[in-house]
Amino acid sequence: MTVEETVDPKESPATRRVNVWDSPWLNTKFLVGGSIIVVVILFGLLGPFFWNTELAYTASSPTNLPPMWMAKGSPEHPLGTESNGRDMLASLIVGIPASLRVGVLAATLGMGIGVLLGSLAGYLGGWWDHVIRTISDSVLIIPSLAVLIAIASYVQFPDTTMLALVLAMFAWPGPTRLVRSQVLTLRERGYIRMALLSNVPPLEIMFVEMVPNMLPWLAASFTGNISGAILGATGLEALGLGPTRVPSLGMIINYAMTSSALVRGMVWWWLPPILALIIIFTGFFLMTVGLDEIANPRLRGYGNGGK
Amino acid sequence: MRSLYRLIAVLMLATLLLSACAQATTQAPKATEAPKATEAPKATEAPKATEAPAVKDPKEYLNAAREDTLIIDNPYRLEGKDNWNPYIPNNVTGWGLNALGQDPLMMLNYGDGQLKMWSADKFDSDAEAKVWTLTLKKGITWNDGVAFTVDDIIYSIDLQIKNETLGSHFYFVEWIDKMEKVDDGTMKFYLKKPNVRFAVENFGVQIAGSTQFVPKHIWETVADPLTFKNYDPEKGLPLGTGPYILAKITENETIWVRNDKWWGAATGFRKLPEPLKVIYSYVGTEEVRTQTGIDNGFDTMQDMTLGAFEAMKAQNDKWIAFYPDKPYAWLDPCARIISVNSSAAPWDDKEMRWVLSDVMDRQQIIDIAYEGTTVMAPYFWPAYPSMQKYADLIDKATIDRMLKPNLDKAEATLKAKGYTKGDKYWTKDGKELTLEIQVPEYIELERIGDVWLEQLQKFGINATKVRLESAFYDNFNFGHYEVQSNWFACGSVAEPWLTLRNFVGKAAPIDERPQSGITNGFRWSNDRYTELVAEIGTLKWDDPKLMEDTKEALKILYDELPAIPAAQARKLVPFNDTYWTGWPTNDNYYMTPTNWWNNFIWTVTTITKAK
Amino acid sequence: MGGLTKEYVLQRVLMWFLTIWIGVTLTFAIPRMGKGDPVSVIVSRMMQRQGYVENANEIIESYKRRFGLNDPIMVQYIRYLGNVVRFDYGYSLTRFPTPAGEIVRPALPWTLGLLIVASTLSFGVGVTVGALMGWRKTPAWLQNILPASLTFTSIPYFMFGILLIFVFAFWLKILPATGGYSRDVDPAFNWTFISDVLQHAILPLFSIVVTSMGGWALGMRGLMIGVNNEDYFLLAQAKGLSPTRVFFRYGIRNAILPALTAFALGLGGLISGSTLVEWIFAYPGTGYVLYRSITALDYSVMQNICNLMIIITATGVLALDLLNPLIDPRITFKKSAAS
Repeated sequence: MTVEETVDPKESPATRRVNVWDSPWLNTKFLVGGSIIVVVILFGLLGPFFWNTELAYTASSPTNLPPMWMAKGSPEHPLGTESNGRDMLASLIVGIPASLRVGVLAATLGMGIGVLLGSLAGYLGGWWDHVIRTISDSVLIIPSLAVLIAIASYVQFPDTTMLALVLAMFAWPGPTRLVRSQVLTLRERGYIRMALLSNVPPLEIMFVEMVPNMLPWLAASFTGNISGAILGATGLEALGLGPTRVPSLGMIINYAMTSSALVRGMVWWWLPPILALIIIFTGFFLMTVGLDEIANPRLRGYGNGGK
Repeated sequence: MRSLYRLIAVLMLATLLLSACAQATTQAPKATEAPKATEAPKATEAPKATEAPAVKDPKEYLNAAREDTLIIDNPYRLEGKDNWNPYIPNNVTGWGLNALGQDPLMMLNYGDGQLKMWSADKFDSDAEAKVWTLTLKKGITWNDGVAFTVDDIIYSIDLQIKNETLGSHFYFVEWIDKMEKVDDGTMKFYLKKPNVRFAVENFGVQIAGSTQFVPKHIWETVADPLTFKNYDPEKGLPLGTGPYILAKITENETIWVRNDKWWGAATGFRKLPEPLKVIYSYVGTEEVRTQTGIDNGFDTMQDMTLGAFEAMKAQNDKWIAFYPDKPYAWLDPCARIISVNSSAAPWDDKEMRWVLSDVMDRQQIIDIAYEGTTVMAPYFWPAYPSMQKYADLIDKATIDRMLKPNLDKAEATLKAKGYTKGDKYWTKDGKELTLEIQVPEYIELERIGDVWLEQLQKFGINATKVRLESAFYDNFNFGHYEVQSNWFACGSVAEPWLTLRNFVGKAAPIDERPQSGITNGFRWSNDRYTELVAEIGTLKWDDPKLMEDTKEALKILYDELPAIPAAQARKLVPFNDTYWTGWPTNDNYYMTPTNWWNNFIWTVTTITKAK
Repeated sequence: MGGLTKEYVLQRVLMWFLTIWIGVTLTFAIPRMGKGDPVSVIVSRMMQRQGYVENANEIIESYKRRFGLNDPIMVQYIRYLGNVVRFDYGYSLTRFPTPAGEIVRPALPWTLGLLIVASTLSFGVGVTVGALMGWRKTPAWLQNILPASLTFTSIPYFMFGILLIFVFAFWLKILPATGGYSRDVDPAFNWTFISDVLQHAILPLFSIVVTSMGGWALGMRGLMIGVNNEDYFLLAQAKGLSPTRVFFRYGIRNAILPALTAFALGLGGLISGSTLVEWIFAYPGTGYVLYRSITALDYSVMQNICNLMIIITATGVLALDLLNPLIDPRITFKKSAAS
């Protein structure tokens, strides 16, 4: 491990960021991704001012209408309606933010707890490590799907927030373990050792020196986890375990599937929620890529053959 | 890079759209093209059903061509494929043994309300309905050649009487005093108390099933009938008397082949069925089932949604259903109701229960939850022709009140009860009027709940829906519910008693299971009603007293409303004319059109090869 | 190189026991915490079929006696621990008289076969894609194409599965739609059967791999970016080693450890993770069996599958813990770190 001794302290991520003067936040990928997410959020926030969201409920509209640009379509239901008499536009206005909330909430909670506990376990070691690992390992090996189904057969999730909390319950041990192992690796690095020797407070080492170092990985995981949580919720909904009155993307897809939307040729029923999922994912993905570049200036100009 | 990424994302979407369009382009009917997966290898010499005097080894029929094969859709997974013991719950006899491998004694046809004899020749009672005499047709044999006699019947019922977890143990113990063999083809049942329904209820395929019989000569040698699976292809198990023999089981299918030696044909009772091979097949979700149907992968299917059926019919015009046009569907024998827990405030007040009924827009439930495939008939039993004379006993004004919502009446009741309407909801003493609707994991009942919930919300009752799986039934039994969307008044199809008896007795205490006949799970109690129904149970169907009592009982029931009739259930059972014709439809109603009931044997022996 | 001390190994093995014990206890407790009663579910099913069941109480009691569900909870628990050790969970509650093991065992090869291949492929492809995305020397054109392949990650795999069925089975008619094998072949060890099974596995496999590799790719990309900045990586490049060598020896090898951990943690999911795929493709595996057993409160089948998952995952975790210090030269398990 002689390499470590040649490390220039200025190259550690924490200091590197300080040296960047040309406002890194003007990263195009980050901005494009961010705009996509903002637009998605605005769609949900402003939608209710332009469209009657009551139409997202069962029996509020005529059934099985195609979108307005198709034959028999009606401008009163521009994106058509499905067979429970829900207006598709209203369902999307309600459903997109609902799903986004599940994803962000579950991923934030899961990652947050994971980073906190993982760093504590990895950095402090000793009893902290033992207790955290026993709990997280136990949660990790319990088949979460089984528990979720068991819970759901007794408790109805009235809204997607509950669904997110339940998903988060099983989302933290993974990150905990991974962060812990990363911290163990990092602890052996020269600059951390150096910081340790110079009596920097542990918390500062943990969150100022270590966490930024894990940022690319954390950001990527976060994006992945948001999508994962949205899909997890969708999966639970497909098993019939989600909320059933207020639409979410998962519920729309689930109803479309159980009502044979594909074979009935009701493209306007199953495609929009999938496109919405793709758009949300793309937005977060671009943000992640952008974030990486902001955190690691050396990554900029990627794709042009590197530096 | 961004532009390229965008380009690729667009391409990706194009792929998705392509798959969306793919189905649009496949809309051209492909009726003549059988899908690859279901194409059986061509038999070198397809044996013709009618001109096959020489009896073939049934296993050869495994290679029967598609046009000699009948393929039946089963939308449920084949679970526990080796459990063919008909007396154990969750057995798989519904995968063909009940309908093709065995012969019922007789079958009730809803079309004309008649009991049609099958392996029974006669099944009559004395005047008091306490002694029933059964005479079998001559020449019935098990498929291994051994004669089928009343000994087998006595053995089969005795087995259930001796083992409390087998079959209809408790029913037989309650009713049968003793059984007596007269000769091989004749026997008598001596009942403990009169029962006019004894034959049809147990042996007449009244709803879905009837008592299945097992071969005494095999089962006698079985060590433990409780754990016997009745499955051993080497030994010819499951063994039945029917025209088909189980030839093969895969993970998702059972395959039956015709037994040319079937007693029915040998005795001239009925011609041999024309399909040489019958397949019960599970292919997955409704999307896949429908597309398989479009490709002629099925000859008949179980219940499906209207949209899927219309999509199928549009792409393959050989598909028909019970009615040639909307509503297409045949009415299911179990009407859908909303059970109200009549012990739980505020629904312990019959006027409050009527509020729930007055808010209900049944036409909207038909239009949305059933997509218009059922009829308006707010009864606790099915709107069958055979039930009409009993339905006519219900007070006309009451029925009319249920045909449309009466929000003003509901409002007046609530005001009289001290409720005031707030911004959104009715309140009393500062408390919102709420209602929890429990639904089981069953899409049809759930959709009824969905539509009704919105109606309640609009009216100002804060209704919520809770979907429960196994807990649903326990909640009903233990009284842990306000209202449930269910079918628990099911029973009657040709006379009124079976449905009426669901409400008899005292209200079962909360946290205690109802005891049939003594307490009920609706938590409702009316002594006069119980008395009336007890009397109806002993009367013959043509007794004028029965009409009189029924009228009074119905008046009490509809006045008190321990449950609210919600909708007539329906089953859309598609039939495919491509390979087989002569299916039971409204114009040709020779048998109840259910391909998963024990009576399907009648249909299979009736259909003929399409020209 | 770090040492694998006896103390450390012992500690890990103890942990293995402890987590398994906690896990199996939870699979015992969780279904019993609900209000549901498996036996009354059986009776309710009878009600559903027959419309009316006389004397439900007596039937329920006699079933309970048979399954030993009337015994005190501790007696049941101890008997259950015995079952776990013997790996025999007795009769299935809902499919009596079939033993739970006989329900799970025939389903296992289908699920394991499908998912081992699917997970490995998904991991392999995902990690490679991710590593390429995170590596600075990846050619520009590849850098631009790869992210698009991640788009599929955001589509629910069961929805994607249905689309695949329509395109490949019903429209192009080149692959079978659903099921494990065709009705005209017989299970046997011959090419006809095997190729038939493989054909049936292509679409479910594809739907899992395409929609799940993105997750691995995202994670790996992040890890690889981290490695890009590591000094040994820079040094290797500076030394003028061939890019391929740098990529594999210094890049992937160092970045892959946490990804491998995640992979090992997902092992238990091999058995349960396919419920929806099995539903869409009518595939005869354990995922669907598990789902049904939970909703029907079939304790014995559910415990059989869950405990299998618990033991597989716990063992995977143990193996990782024991291998990690050996693989990763950077971690030295000094006594202070381990205890």
